[in-house]
Amino acid sequence: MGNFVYALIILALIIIFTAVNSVIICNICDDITALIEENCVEVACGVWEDNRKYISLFVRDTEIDLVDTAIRQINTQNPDGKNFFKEAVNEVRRSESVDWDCIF
Amino acid sequence: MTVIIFRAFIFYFLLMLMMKLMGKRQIGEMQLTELITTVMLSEMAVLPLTDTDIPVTHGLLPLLLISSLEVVIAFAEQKSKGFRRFLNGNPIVLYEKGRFVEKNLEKARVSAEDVEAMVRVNGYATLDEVSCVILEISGKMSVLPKKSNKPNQSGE
Repeated sequence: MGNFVYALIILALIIIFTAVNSVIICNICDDITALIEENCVEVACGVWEDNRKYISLFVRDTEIDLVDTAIRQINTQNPDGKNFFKEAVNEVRRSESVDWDCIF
Repeated sequence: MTVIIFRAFIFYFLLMLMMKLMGKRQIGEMQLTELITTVMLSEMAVLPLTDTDIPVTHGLLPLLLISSLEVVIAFAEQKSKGFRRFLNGNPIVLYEKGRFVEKNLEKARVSAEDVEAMVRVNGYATLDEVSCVILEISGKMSVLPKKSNKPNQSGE
């Protein structure tokens, strides 16, 4: 009985933990996207840098690297850099959101 | 990450259904859920080891999830006879009263030659010495002798 209770608790904790982190990461990505659309690109870069370590615990390195590359391109005054940054952040958001297409 | 948790649930139950479809012969020594857990855990543990692109949480959380599911399913099996029967099935009589039960041989996808081989492995020369052969839920075959017979021991 003891192990069963522990297992149920672990199951519940995993589901809650995953859901909470997904929501947090999606909100961070939404904030960054909103800042980019308002032309506050430097602030958006700052938000990413502040949360990068936390996001990297749950998101694959390729997606993190994509955002980092996009930020570097903005710094080199690439005119498409802003859109690339937004797309890269959207990729991170897509990987964390519950999308039935992604599941299947 | 949420997608991975959803996939872990989906693949766990999908594997269970697939193993059930494949039948007792494939399961061998292990119970159905134990086999699925073993296969999935080993695969899951390997992925973050070999691919550093994958965050550790992508391996750790599904591992914990599958292990916990195994404990919950095992507990449910213990408490519910119906659920246990649904997961593991019932023993199947393959040979009794001097003849093969053809319907059960087909159901278990076992041939008469397999049964005869198992009878010999258990120390009986022919089926005449045996009262019945049962395919257990573990996938092993039990050979029950007629009252007057007992298996030949090695060296006799």
